[in-house]
Amino acid sequence: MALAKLGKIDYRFIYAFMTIITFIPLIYPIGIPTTVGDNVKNYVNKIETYPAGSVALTSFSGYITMLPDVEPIYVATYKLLFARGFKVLILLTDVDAPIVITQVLNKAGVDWSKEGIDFVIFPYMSMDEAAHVVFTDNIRSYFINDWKLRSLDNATNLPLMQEIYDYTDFDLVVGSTGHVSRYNVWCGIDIVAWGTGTGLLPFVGPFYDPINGPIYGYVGGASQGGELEIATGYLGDGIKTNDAKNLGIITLCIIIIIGNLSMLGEKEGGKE
Amino acid sequence: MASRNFIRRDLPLILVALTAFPILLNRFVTDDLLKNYWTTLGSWTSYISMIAWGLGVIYLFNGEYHALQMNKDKGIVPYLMFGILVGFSLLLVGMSILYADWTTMQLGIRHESYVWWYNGFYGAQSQAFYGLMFLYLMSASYRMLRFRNLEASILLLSGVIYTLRNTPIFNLYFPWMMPLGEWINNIGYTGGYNAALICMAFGSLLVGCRQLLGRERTAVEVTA
Repeated sequence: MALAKLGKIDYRFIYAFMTIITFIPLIYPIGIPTTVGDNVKNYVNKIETYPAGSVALTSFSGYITMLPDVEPIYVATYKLLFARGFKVLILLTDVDAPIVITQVLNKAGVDWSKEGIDFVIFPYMSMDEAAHVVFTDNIRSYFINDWKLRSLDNATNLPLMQEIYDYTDFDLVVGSTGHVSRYNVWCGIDIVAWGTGTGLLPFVGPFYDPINGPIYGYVGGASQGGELEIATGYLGDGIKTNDAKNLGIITLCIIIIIGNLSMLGEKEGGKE
Repeated sequence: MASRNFIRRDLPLILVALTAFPILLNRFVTDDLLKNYWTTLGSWTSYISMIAWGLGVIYLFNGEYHALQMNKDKGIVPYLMFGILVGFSLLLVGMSILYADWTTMQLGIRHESYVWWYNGFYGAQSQAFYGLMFLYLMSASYRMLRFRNLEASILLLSGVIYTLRNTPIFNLYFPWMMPLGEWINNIGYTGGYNAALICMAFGSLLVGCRQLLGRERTAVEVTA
């Protein structure tokens, strides 16, 4: 009977308890060690196989709503790409992206004087698959300027773009699962995937194969963002939030156990 | 009546056919004209969605205005007014020529004032709501993830194992958890997902064929 009462815990108590539990480590970090999963190792290994000067197209959605979940991944990835000498093209695919990209690149410590030489940012454009097709076939049929309205054909401001015209000039795409059909199946470009825990992880499985692709490695959500920071050596916000995540999940497990015990109690009560 | 039927039924079908056939042909035939057609339509999908954003803003403010006029509960007024204030502030600062960067011909969306508004109001509240989802998930897990029957038990076990795979402390003390969680996501889940994907593909083909034949009622306003 006592067990059955466990099933009647008020949801407000659960909310309050969870808030307190996850809040404590943000003030007093515990420093629980983290291990790196194979999918994150493959993500880093794939990027590291390319020589300096390779061109990476990064599809940056940058939703400000989910930024705490995905920002550690963006920052660590850009740090890795620039450290490896990649030439980086940045597609802004969400309405938040033009603002968020500045914050992310500042956190990644980019040298803005190298804009146009080491990296180019395209203007924000809402892009579905049809738009990606147009873009990959001929970049200049979709964009005529960069995000600062400088012509892509202007060799003084954007020397990088004088060598890049279509998908044959890309070596790697850093994007999400939605890019699989166009970039890999049609164009044969390797993909590594990044995204939020809710936006990427449920969809990446069918496309992930570290040997044959189309997605060779992936990182989704702040927890795996922490793993990426460890794998790349660029420690940041991802690793800081892992303590809160650990305690939150432990509490979730306890709550699930309580829920099942209460169900058991109800069954026993019914038999009596 | 005939002209009405033509506008409501035949014209949409003609437009769908004129759009669909060249795009399908472009997958199989290499032709510059078809490619240009495909390129133009592909670009227009972006323009249309961008215009929809602008329409959405107008619709939102119109809705707020009517809500203010019609709502008898005056207690809601401060909330609506605050929403309108924040919305207009973002619009005015973002579009203000005072904050424009004339060297790049950009309006004020990268100005620090706009970024402050954006992060302080829109960013903070939207991230708070995203965070609230965690609490709802917690409450739902407490009620739903139970060993009721075989299906619920499989859902519970696979969900919990994959959740634990994403939790660093469990991977440290139970190293077998990580490969098991990844196996569930990469192998177990893939089979079901691919089956659903194939069903969706066949379903889309079917709906497309029905639309082109004029048999899909959702594509036309009247039936013959």
